[in-house]
Amino acid sequence: MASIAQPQVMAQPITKPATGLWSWLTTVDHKRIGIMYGVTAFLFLLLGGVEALIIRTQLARPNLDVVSAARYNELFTMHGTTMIFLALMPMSVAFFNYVMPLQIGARDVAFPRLNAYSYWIFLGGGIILNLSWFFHAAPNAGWYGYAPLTSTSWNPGRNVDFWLIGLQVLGVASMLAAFNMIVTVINMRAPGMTMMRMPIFSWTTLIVSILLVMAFPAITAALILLAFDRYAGTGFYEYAAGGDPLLWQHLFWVFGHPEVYILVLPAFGIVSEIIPVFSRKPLFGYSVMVYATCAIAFLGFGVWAHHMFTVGMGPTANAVFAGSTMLIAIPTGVKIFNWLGTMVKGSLRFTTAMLFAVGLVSQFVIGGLSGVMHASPPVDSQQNDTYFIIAHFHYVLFGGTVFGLMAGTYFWFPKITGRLLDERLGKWNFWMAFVGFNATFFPMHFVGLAGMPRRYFTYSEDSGWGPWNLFITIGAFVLATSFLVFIINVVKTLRNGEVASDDPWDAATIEWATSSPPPVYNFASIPEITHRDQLWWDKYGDHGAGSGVERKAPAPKEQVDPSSIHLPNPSYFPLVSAFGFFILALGMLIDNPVLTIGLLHLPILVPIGGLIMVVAIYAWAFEPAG
Amino acid sequence: MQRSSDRWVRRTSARLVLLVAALFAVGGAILPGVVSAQSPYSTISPVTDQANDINDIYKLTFWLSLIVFVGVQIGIVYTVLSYRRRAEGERPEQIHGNKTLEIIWTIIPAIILLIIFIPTVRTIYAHDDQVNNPDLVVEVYGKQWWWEVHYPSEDGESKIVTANEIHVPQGKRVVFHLYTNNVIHSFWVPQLSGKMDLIPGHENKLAIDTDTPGYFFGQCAEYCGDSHALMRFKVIVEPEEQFLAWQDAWLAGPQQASGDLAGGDIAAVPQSMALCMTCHEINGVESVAGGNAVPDLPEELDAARTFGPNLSLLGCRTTLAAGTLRNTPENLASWLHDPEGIKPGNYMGTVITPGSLTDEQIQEIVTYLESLQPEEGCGEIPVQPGVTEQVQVQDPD
Amino acid sequence: MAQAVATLETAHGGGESHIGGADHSGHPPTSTGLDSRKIAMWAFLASDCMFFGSLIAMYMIYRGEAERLYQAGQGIGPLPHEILDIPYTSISAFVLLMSSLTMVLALASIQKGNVRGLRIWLGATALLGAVFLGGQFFEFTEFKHEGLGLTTNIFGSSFFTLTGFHGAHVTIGVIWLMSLLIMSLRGGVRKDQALNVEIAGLYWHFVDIVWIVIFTLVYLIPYDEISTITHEAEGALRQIGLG
Repeated sequence: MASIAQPQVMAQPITKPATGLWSWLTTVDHKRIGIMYGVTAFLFLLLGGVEALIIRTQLARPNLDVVSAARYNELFTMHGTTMIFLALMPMSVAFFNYVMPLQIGARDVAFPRLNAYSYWIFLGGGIILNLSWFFHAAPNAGWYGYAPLTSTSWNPGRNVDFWLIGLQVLGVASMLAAFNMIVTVINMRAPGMTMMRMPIFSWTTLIVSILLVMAFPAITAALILLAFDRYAGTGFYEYAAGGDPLLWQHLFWVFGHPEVYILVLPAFGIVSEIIPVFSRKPLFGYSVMVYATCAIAFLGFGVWAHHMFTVGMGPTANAVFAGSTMLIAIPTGVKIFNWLGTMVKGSLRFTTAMLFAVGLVSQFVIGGLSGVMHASPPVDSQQNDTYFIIAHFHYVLFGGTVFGLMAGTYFWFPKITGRLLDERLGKWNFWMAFVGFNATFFPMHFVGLAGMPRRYFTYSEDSGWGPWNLFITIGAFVLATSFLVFIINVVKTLRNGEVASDDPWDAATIEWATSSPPPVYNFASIPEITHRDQLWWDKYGDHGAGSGVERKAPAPKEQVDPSSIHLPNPSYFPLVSAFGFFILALGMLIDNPVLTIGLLHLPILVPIGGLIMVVAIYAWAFEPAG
Repeated sequence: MQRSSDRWVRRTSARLVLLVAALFAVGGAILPGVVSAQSPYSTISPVTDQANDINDIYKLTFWLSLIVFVGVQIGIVYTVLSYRRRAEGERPEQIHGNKTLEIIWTIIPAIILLIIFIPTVRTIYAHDDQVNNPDLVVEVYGKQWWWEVHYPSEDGESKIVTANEIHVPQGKRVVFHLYTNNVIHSFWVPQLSGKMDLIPGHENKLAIDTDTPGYFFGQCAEYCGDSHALMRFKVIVEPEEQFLAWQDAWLAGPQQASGDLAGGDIAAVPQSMALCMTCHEINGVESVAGGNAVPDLPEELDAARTFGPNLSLLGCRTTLAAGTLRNTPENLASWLHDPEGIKPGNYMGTVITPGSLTDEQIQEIVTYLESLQPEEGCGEIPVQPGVTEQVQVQDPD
Repeated sequence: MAQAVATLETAHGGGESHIGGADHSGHPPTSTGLDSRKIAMWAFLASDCMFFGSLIAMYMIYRGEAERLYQAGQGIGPLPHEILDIPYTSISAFVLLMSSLTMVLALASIQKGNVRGLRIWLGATALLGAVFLGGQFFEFTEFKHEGLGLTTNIFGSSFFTLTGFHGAHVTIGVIWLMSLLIMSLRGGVRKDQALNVEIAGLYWHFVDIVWIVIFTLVYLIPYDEISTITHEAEGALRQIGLG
């Protein structure tokens, strides 16, 4: 197998990864950035979880007064915003970052410094959103912030400003990361890796990134109009001024519905990698799975108004969007059946990763089916904005996304750290999560059918919602405990966990062909791809049933002197520029002197931050990249 | 020997798991029926044709979903139990897919969806058509955080305005016209029909056929700010003659008993209510006994906020503060003492804080407001069969 | 958004060296044979299509709304047909279109190794872009004088927002072209770096095409002068009356 990388004189030897804080702050290594994304997102997940627990405590009994109504409204807004934008999305991006380049045999992503920039901007956006707590102005208009509740006349504080500026910053981070992923998948594949030989998770990365760059502009535009309404006094969402609050809903959901697939498709990709490995069978109907992913993404742009069945769009619009929404169930169903098809006649091994993956298959079905129920507008008119919807999307986003991400964590942890997570604790983790999750969210279907609307800070004794709510709250604490088990597992494993081999799961894709953890340069020599599931092919070929073919050692590769591999230099400009962006955004939110240039009144931090940002970008553009 | 007993254990445990799964599924089917139908806000205890149509589609989707759910879960459990790895070196056949199967499981869901889609579309159009043939139009205005109810009349003069309790005659098609001049709300009486949003600048309509008399409980279903959870209301379906009697009583204005409390003038309110009358109205009342001194209101209270509920016939309301408190003199007094403490964020709380009104003033207001009833009393409101009157009560402290 | 634009452009236009760039010897060839920066630019333009799509949709939804409110006695002018100057804007649109031509000539020059031609045509493109911006600045000032500001009515809000964001894109384009010109003058842009110019060109042509759409939808399609109060206007009146 010929090496593709050309030996070349190096600026610095890279046989050993650099260490120390500075090396992390200036890193452009996709693996390190992936780890930073993952750790940050997990911390935000814990924060969002604590918010959820306070919400559940407040609702445990009727008429409780654990937090005030205003605080409660901040809590549910921040819980949703945090989980979606600061926990689940970046956690998916963590896997995109760490796993995808390894899977396609690349040394890094296409634009390594842009990658670091995306992370730092994301971190800044997360900090901005949560700084709001310290200014007693946490966002309080719900995660989809319907106008005109977000207008200055109905929400005069800084709360909504923190939300809209924070989301705008996060949007930039997400889009920059997505451009990078798209280009990487399209352009950085190892020789011989055609699109249809590509691991399914890398396919998912591509599709989700395309969704991101196509969906985020809609919310960017919507937030710009909102910012004009709030900062400049326009009336885009103000009916008395000729605007229309429904424009917000349309723009938001044109983003918001693809966003659901942005959140869940990565988990689907992860599970599509894990189930074949632990079934010792190739993914059933690989090409159909790829087409189904594309179909879901495409249809995802044509269903946004099903979030608006009760706004009075008229019968035709309701019928059309009901139809398009139901259509999406078809490719989703195909995925479920194909996962089952992969397992049937396989040789199943139930590691924790596999348990979470099968857990996703079984739990996502529930979310999918309840979704079909309110795809029907009349049914939706009873279920919309009730706990039935809360149950539905938690089955999608927890039973789907979180289970998938947990599966991915258990699966790739040995690759990332070189140590295997403890399986005994892992099983505790899974079963507690499974039981806690169902105890929390299944009864929400019942309280939803019993008419409990979402976003109620309290409810009366006579509503009859009390007993189930208590049950749900207990379930939520069980679920929270499962994350404690996970943390204990991680800490224990990092200290003295079992050392992982390069390929501990007998896997099929080439990230398992390199060492655990991989060297800075990923592969000493870029693998040549001749088949889908290349590693499996290298090990066993495509033998028939029961042939008892023994596992072969991979064919020896021509060794390349690692010190000759060309890698990008670390750079601190992404961090500096992102810091400038952070200052700019902060200038819009906190009191600071106003600078007046002609008609323009700018808080002084805005131009200062902008200057830092732009200068750093120029410096980075002219910096030798290595 | 060892091997066959292993298999026996495996099979038995497989059956056990399947049994548990089946119980879980059946339980899932029955539980919501039993538990959720009990609530006054139940979405699955319809009493009108409209709510029935919706419930029929819900039941259809529910049973189809249940079949798919049980099928898939049994498939998962069966697969998981049957194909466990038995030996380390096991090599299953490498199956890459099966076109026929994949086509089948694309088509079957499509058929199921079509079965749901057809009645869905039929119901959407049928319900949309109904709003054009009203027997009675009721205009509902969403406020932060209460409901204003208008009964438009031909002459435009005798327009009835009330709040939070919507009287409608039995056996009619009532069409609600929904408006808001503040934020978005959603009008929802689960037993009568699905919800419909109130959106600034838009007019939405919702039709119900009022066949069953009784109290039906409604609430706001679109997040609208601080006290979104305390924006309840009732639709009271009563025999037509009783509905007409209620209308007449409203139009008649205060009775002599109330007039006596205001110094003998039935067109006036007691002096202590001067502050109240800057935001509230009572039909037939034009002045405040002893002068109309209008106090200054805080600047942040613009027109959309100062408009308080119409207090006509307040003595007959079952609840106060949009379903937050039962209407008793004690509760009314605690409401007047500290509105903010009972209902966070409400605009009355920006004017009246504890101490704004003296105990004597509060007592006078309470006595007057509770006296706002027809001479012959409020009349019995028929109670919905099977559901006793359930009023939302909150202990003020 | 503008930040995102700036970031991408300067990062790539300024010539970030990266793994997989076809123009760097020593890197493996890319999967498609295309330079990664070019694919990134295409992805960005697709994304930007959605951005302008959203703003244009907003404009089209509110088109005619200011007239309706005015007729209903609740709005104030100026209204679009009173203030938009089609001949004037046609000239500036023509200037912007011509800049696409000069952009093509700039790229053709450097691809042939003609550094002088590159400088001339880059300068011309930036100049034409600047003329367009000057025209827009003058137009905005004029509107301001005639009483139309960002917050005057829904027409002012949607007009200034849509055309303003287009103007911001042109501004970034001009800065980018100037940066390339300065790089070239310092001897930085050689024939084998024609890609830097090509990518800037992609962006520049996109911005031009967007202007054609905006010019058609905002200026050319006549504005209805609604003379009767519509049913909706009556409804709105009543709601405000009840406010």
